[in-house]
Amino acid sequence: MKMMVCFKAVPDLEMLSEEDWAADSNLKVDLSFVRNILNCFDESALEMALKLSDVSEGFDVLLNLTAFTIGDQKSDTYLKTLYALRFKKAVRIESNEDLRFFPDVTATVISQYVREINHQDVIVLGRQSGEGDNGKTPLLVAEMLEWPCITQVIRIEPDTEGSLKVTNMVDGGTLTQTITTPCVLSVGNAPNSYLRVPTLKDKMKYGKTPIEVLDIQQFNIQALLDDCRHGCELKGLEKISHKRQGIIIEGETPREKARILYDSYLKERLEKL
Amino acid sequence: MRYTVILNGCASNFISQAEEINGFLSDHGTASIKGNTIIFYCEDEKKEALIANAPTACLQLVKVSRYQPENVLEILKQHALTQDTDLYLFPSDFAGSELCVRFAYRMVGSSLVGVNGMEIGEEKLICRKAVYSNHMQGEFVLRQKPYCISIAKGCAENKPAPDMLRRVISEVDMTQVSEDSFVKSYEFAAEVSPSGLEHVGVLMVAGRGVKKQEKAERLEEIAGALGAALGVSRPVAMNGWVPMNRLIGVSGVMAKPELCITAGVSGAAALFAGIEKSKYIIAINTDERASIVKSSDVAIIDDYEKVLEELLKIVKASE
Repeated sequence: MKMMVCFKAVPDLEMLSEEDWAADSNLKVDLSFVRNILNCFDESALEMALKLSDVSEGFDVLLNLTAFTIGDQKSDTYLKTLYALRFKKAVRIESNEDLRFFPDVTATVISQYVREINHQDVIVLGRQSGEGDNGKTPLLVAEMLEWPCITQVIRIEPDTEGSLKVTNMVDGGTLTQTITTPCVLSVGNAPNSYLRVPTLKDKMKYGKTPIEVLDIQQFNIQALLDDCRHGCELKGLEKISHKRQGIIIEGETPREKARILYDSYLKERLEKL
Repeated sequence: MRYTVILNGCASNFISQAEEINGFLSDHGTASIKGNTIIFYCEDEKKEALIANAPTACLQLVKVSRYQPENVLEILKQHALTQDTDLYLFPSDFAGSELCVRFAYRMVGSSLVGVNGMEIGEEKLICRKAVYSNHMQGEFVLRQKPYCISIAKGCAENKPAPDMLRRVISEVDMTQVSEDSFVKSYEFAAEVSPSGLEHVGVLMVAGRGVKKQEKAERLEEIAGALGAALGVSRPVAMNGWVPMNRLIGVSGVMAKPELCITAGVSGAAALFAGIEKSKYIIAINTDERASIVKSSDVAIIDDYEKVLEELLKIVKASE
């Protein structure tokens, strides 16, 4: 079974202070000084694929994993780590384009890659990522490929070479389905899915496997970008202020502070409730 | 301009979806616009309640064998081709956010997920939504009809359906539609103990500073003794120490308690979205520079464990 996991390296937005949140005339926020991290839902997707790989052999299923990302060279660190974690292939679509609010373009590149270059049985993606917060890419990939899609996935288990057992959160509970491939899986809040760390030995042995790099221009994205702008376009960006009074209780000991908190701020409120 | 609300009557949260949409419609002055509601349902005995809670007077009922997005999308498309609707409104739940995007793609329209405000313009729809993990508010223009939007969780006060005469303009049985042949078998497990955190009066939130399962368990005891329910930030939920339905924030519960006490929470904007509607916020954190301090009404800079243990003694002594 061929499974491709799509991920995105995103800026760690929590490093920014309140004052850093300002958009320029092109509606961009300067994040050049911020470190990159794996988008949390994509991290879960990668780890879930590895867990599936761990147990697939017992089901006589051979899982062939590809890691896929769109971005610049900064993403190569993650791709090398994924090679060390035994992904068979790591692909990066070289791009400096501003795709923050163009999930349609991202989805087109992914679906075109799978349709024309590297056929897959399953595509796994995080449900959304924290710049655009579009929440659309996995759904659009499924629509473009005309594949079924399972959203809010929290567990993937092996079944047969052509099927998987997938558990997802639905309104009011969880659904466990055995489904045939091909399909798109959109990963939601999956517990215990932090990405594992490769061994030093595997880093040395597999970490230098060449990354397949393709240029995004070969996907004809300029025309796509124009089309998408016509459909839905960002016109303004403003900081959301979360500021409140922020009174700090002074005191020598935790007991003293707890006492002031209770007497001055808590007692009356608790009584009213 | 005409709008259509799509609701999933197969889900146990139907009434809250309907009330949420009704609140959103009231906030956005849609009273003068023609609207109708399509409700998918699977149990006949619930039909009356579904009709009574519809946010519009006109409604259409579609019976399905179970809620399955592929089936529902196919039926919706068949319906849309015979209707003249410019705007489709979906609720904020899992089903709403999924259907909104996929339906818009099939109708060659435009879509936006998590909308918290809208203005209907001449041949365009202006929408607002939180982006950059709730650090920024974006304004978007949708130009391609039909506009399909799902609303943001907690963006409108839930408002019970207005008391009015409702007219079921069509009722169809689509239980035979079967676009789900890729499903070999399925098993639904209803949520055993819903967290109910959306409606609690006092909420305590455990953050990254809670480093062990035992500490999360102790915090739950303290919360209980103070009359609070416990919610958690993403790192705590990811460790599997509490059920995922206790996750607070953009991808979890959007709470609006009278009082919120955060313990070891740094104040990530994605989490803060889930408590920003609290009437009063008390933060306990060792780091004075943590963003939660400025976002709280009152803060204690200290070890949350020590402070809360002391607070518990004080509360018990005063009882």
